Amino acid sequence: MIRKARACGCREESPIKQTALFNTHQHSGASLIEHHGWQVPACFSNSEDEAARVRESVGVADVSWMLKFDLKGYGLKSPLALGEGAFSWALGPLHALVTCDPSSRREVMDRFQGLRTAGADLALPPPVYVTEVTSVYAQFLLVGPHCREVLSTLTSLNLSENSLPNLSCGQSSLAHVHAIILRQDLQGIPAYQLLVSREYGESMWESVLHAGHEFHLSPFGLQAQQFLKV
Amino acid sequence: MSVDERSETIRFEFCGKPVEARAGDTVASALYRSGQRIFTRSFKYHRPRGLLCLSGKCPNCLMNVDGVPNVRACITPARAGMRVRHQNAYPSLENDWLAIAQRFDWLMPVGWYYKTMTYPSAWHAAEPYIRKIAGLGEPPPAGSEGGEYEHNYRHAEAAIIGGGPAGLQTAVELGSRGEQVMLIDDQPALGGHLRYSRNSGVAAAELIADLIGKVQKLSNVEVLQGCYCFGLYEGNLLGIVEPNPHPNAAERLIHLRTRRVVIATGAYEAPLLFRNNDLVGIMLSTAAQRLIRLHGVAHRVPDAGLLSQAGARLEWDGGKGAFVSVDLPSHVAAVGDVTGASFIAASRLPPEQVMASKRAFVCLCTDVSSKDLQDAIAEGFDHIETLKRYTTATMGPCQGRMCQLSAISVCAHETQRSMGATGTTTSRPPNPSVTLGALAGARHHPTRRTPMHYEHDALGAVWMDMGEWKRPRFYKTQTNSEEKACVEEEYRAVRERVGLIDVSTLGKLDFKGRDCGKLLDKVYAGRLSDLRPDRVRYAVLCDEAGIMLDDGTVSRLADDQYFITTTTGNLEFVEQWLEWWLVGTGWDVHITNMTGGVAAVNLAGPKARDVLAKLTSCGLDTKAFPYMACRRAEVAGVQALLMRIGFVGETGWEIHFPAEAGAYLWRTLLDAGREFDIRPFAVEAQRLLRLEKKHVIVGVDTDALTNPFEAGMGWVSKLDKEDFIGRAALRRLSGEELKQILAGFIMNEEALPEDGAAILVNGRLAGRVTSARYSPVNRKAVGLAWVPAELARPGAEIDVRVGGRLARAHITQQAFYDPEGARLRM
Repeated sequence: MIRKARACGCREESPIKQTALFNTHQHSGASLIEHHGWQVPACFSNSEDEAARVRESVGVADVSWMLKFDLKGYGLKSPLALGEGAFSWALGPLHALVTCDPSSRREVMDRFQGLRTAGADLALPPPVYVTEVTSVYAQFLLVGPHCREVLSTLTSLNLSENSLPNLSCGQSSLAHVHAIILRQDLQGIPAYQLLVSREYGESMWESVLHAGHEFHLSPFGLQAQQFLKV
Repeated sequence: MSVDERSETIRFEFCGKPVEARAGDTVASALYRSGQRIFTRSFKYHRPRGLLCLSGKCPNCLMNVDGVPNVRACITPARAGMRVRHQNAYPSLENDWLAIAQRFDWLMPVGWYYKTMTYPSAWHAAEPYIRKIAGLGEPPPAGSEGGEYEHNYRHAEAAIIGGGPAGLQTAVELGSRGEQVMLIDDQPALGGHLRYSRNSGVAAAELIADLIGKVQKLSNVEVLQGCYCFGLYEGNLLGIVEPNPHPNAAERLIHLRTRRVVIATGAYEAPLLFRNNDLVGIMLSTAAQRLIRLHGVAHRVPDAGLLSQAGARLEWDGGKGAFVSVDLPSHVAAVGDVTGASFIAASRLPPEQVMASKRAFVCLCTDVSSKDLQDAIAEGFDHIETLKRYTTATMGPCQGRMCQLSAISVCAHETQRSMGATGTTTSRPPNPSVTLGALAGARHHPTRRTPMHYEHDALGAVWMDMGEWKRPRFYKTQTNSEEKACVEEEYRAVRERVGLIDVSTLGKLDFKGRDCGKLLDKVYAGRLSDLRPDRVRYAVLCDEAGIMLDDGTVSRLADDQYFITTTTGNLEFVEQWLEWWLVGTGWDVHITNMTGGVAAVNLAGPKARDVLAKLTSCGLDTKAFPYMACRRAEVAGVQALLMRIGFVGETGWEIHFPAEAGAYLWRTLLDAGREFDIRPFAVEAQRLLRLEKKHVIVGVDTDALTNPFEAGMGWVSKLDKEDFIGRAALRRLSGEELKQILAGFIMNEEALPEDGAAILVNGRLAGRVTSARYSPVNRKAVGLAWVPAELARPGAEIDVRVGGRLARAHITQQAFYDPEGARLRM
């Protein structure tokens, strides 16, 4: 849900969450709004143009506000049942990353609680340990018909359809920084979620924008994301 | 070049003059049509050189294009507006004053450079002139290249190098089987030698059109046209350069990884050796293709550089008159002329009098004649590899493709060995040459910024690099921008009032699980399993030899949860080290790196409690929150972890909280501290503050051989606990007499030694300073230094080198400031 922002730049009484790119967005002239407590760009120029450019070529959005959880434990031997809206990505044999929209925080947390207590044998350690890592990663959504070409200039990960199909993930170096790359198409448009440790956020954003020059890659805001989802 | 006669003409600039070109023209073909005959001046003698190979193999057409030196004009398509300049000639190619060098060739026999240019006398005098006279192009001034460089990573099942008939046929066959194929061809169009060999007739033209048509129909075959492969590396990784991939990029380096490599690089004609064989107008014959192919008049050489990089052995085949590749690795195949299958031997060497000429050029890149080779062999460089290194033949831009066969022939003849026994030189990437820009790629360096980065900027931070991190070194103020004064102001704020520093760069690890204590006891030298929840302990990490690797704090948040900090630069190492020792234990421990997600500040000084009390309901008096305790509490509405620790030696809290609230809480703390005249302080002030407390920085004051006993920190290791990493070594060390000790010293006079300064005792080198700063409390410089153990007693006198002279200092036992640590516990 989008609420009109309080005027930006003033001292807030309650903490408003800023992504690693807050300063970059402010300087690019984006209009910022509050979204689940985060200050995020609503649009950079014109939302409809932004969405159209994504559909035709490629665009990138800062979606660091998406919820992320790091799951570890023997309970991950069997596939996770998380319900709609949450996605589980296998990062290792007993290691998973769960991503979901902030609106489904409660349901996802309930499911984690269920996992921790399901068939709990008190003699054994809990089957799953959950650590919220939303703050840990800067997360970018790279989407559009040309997104694979842009990404292939930054990572040696094999991005071919066979190797990294929709809803699969990989870990690799992205512009010389360790990254988690999630393939998650958006309404049939090829798309990747790129996760790098937050402190690299700004430098990675510049690298991605630079890599996309050839395809006129430009950033898009929350409004364009809503258009693309329908 | 297949020039389209009907196409519109475009214009580019050559040495300031306009040159017309049509679509399909290369820079060289357009220049040739415009009447240009001399294309370069040679490396050493400045002899005029014209087009020779027209296939990007020889050095005769290297030019500066849009600021980039050493561009092969004969394979570079002409583009409108490009600026082409000649190199290594002054004032012009036609009239080069430096051609006078030819007259002095007798002064420059082979190896003269090694013999005369000895360091330091001759070299110092001659270097600037030699740099001007000899050589190829000049590197472009920084930031002036035409466009940018980028990298690209691709994957395919098969890669075929070479778009001639053999390569095309292979592409069609592999492509029809459904394999994902990449075909790499360095020429402007597909077809290889069938493109220009007229006498191959209509049948050849039809054959090639048919093959190209088939390849184009196969959607799983991708053609990289005009791209050259310069190296074949371990694991079938091919390095490929794509010039001008799009208007913003000068070059793109493609890293192509494939299951199989098919090498179809074909063959090329190697120049013959005769007197003045380098004159302008003499070129390898494309018109004589028929003679070449049917009667073997000229020498053809398999283009086997990549095969040899792939691990194939090159063996002389007398019948074919060529080195052919044998023993190919299983993942690499060779097809077409590169195998040498259709070759016929031809005679190679000229008569003796030509061989003895200074004008029969073996190496066109660096002006090496057959006479030079003879002389070098006479001097004893008679192995082909030493001959190569001594004369530099085969080492220029052509990478031996023009000269290797001639060099081997001369060597074999002079040493009376067979060609096979003489052998070839080793082929290594890059072949052909590659720009450094292409290898480097885009000008991006990962930078790590803390969540408060722009707050620091606004406060006047002067930045320093700490690995990839940006950290403020000190803050300029409105009245002062001089480092020493600013640092001292920051220092005084912390000692007298309150200061705030961003320590978000600390490594932070979250530990969950029942057996965390076991792992920490095993890896850290201290005991951590008995740490009570809500308490913090300082911990040191040692390796098996008892050497200090890292230090940090360990906080216990719950029975099965710990939070660990590491030094800024060591996080990745510590995380891997802990994971390494966890493997195979079966323990219930789960480590998550939280570094980027957690902002951290240290609020320190006598007024720190007053500032913090304004923002949190957490009890802060020493009884409720003693030194070395930790609490989870809200600070200004932000969930935070507070640790009462004191690196700088004052009452203080290290506050860890979510990174997204970083800027907000930083500002809120500074606002709350305004009434106490709070100041942000940075790395320089922190280093001074900790030095006064004699707190060691691992990696600054210690090195790769330091154990805790020498560093005066023997107390950190608990030798009575169960086995841990480094226990055996530390036990042994604890009983040994120490040779050197990290001790504190105070200067006796006004002098500030630099970090690393030498320490002398009775005129002999005895140790070194690791850190030294001017201490406002002591009104003298204080520091830490490695000194011989017998000197590490209070009052012992040492000499420290300061600015070229010796200054007296004396050793102290205690910290320079608040030795009892009373202020920490206030």
